[in-house]
Amino acid sequence: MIKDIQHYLQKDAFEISAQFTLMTLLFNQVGNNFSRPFILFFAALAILLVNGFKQRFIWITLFFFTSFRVVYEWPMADNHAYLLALWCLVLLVSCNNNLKEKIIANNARILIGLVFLLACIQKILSPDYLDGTFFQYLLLTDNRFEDFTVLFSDITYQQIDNARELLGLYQFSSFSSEKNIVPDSSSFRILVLSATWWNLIDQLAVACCFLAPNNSFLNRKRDVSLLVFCLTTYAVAPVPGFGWLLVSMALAQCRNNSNIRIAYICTFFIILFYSNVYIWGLLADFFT
Amino acid sequence: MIYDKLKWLFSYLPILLFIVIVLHHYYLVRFENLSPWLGGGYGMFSTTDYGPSRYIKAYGLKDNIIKEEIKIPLKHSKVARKLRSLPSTSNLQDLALDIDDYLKSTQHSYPHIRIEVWSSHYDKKSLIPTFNLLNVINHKPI
Repeated sequence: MIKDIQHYLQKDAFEISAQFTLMTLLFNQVGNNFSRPFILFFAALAILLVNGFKQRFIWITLFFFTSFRVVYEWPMADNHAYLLALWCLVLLVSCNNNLKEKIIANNARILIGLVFLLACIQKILSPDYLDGTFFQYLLLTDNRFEDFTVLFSDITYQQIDNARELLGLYQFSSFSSEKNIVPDSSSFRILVLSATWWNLIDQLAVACCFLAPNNSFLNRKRDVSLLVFCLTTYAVAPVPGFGWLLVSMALAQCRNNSNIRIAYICTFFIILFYSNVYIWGLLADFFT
Repeated sequence: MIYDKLKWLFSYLPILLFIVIVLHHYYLVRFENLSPWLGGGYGMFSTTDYGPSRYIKAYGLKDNIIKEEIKIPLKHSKVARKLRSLPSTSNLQDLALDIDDYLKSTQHSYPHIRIEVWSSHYDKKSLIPTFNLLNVINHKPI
């Protein structure tokens, strides 16, 4: 088995990246009633057939149906839906091309860099991100983050419920008061501040490293920065599909049989673990 | 030579498309109030200006006076979600037509239907919201 794994790690970047992209499509099950069955069918077919991932027809159909999903749902499709469609296009233009390793690696590096650069620009330009308003709002109103909030601050579930109720009154009735929605808690303020700046600095680091000139100091640190981002962000943010896609893309631009490649593959499965075992809920139950 | 350049350009077509999508996103955010979270601009988790902070009000009007607030039927929730994300005049018109059809099917009708899309802005210390009208339409049923 170890020999098989070593053999697998020596495969070319296109093959590994294509296979992980296909797994992303199968795990994430994207699309609507029209596009999802086709996306799943062609992704499964590409995995089952010998060299199925090299077939141009597979990538044409996957590009078509992932794009169809974006157009059909427009403008409500998530940002990673656009990136997934573009990544299928990268795999389409690079398969059967003599320079496929170079094309796929350059596209992956630039696309990842641009995605993170834009995420940073949006945060810096936003009127309510840097002052902490966004994370105050998110941690109190989004139930996907409430266990995390309870675990890392001294706020209780009851206080979160009260905050949501009060916000609802302000928003959907003629209720008028000066009563604060945010509970008075210094640990919550620290959590908000940490989340705000960690997200921005981490994403800025990934953008700078991936867009830095080849072989520069920053560029050599790009994989570490992205791995740190994936391992920390997807432990909290419930968007594993984006994490799997980033890892699949990153696998296209790292060297064969390197430790970095092993780290990316492990990260792919750690994200799978994060998405299926709700660690913050378990820890919150244990500690609170 | 030209063929080689075209081949090279085709290899980087995804990046060109990416840039076009991003420019389109910024145009819509600036001029049509698209939520920065959407449209391929990677603005998710950057602002409170997204789904739960935007809401729609629909009213039946007679002689320019509000007679009733109309609850948007569940079957039109997709159109409403689209309108909240992108409160353009054409999306307002789409929802107005759907509500008009719905009212006719329930034997209700008004000389005018008004649809408003609002966004919330939150105070940075207390999170107390203030509201901002993004777009409005006064639709006259045919």
